Amino acid sequence: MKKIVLACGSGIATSTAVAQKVSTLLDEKGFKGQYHIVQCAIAEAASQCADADLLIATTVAPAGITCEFVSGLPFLTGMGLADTQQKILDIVSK
Amino acid sequence: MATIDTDLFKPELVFFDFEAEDREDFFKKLGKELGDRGYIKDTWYDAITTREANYPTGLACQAINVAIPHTDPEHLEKPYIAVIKPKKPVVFEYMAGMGDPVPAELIVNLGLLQHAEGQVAILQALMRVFMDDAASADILAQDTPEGMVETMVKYCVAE
Repeated sequence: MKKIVLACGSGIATSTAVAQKVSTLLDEKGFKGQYHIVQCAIAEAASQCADADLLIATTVAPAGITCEFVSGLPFLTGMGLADTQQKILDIVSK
Repeated sequence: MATIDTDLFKPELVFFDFEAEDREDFFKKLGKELGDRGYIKDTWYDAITTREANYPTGLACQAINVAIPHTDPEHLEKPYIAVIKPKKPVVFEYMAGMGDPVPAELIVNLGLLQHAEGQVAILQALMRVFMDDAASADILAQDTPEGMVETMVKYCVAE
């Protein structure tokens, strides 16, 4: 089971929007049931990430995270979305 | 797909040719409009400017340069979405410091209360709109508050 942390400034708005897109992507690619998403404010990300496989955030990567980091912005802007999706799929398939 | 709470768009919170010198001035003037109509608390201005400084919300989307400033629910009296077309673009820092500052042609201030599904659905719908050239052009072409609300709602409920 992969743990994916999804963070934004407050853990409410953009992280939720991105979380839904990420889970749609993963389910479509056959990863349903193999991951779980934890949403949080970026201030809590470092502690949430201690046992996580991937952090996706709509902010800059916080200091001191030990898991992989992918920017969630392409899910909001459409720019570079295919690359980002591939990166997430690669990490989840590891 | 969650039902979209399109009631959050209100003609009284659509502003055209909004004059603002810069981002601070923009928030000051928008705060006055929102405060006068009872949407926000006194703490809103400090909260949203601090929030914007720490977590900027400018986005250069495929079809349009936008900003989606928002702050924590405790600074709101009631939920809303304000749509502002500034007279001249207001410069917002790029979200996550990913790129150059964004001269926003459209600013959508999200007054969201919580993880309510309908509100997130709106955010997702907005992002879909901002990636779509025709929809973005249609929104920028609106010149009445009612037309803007109608157009926003139309694209937000479209799949």
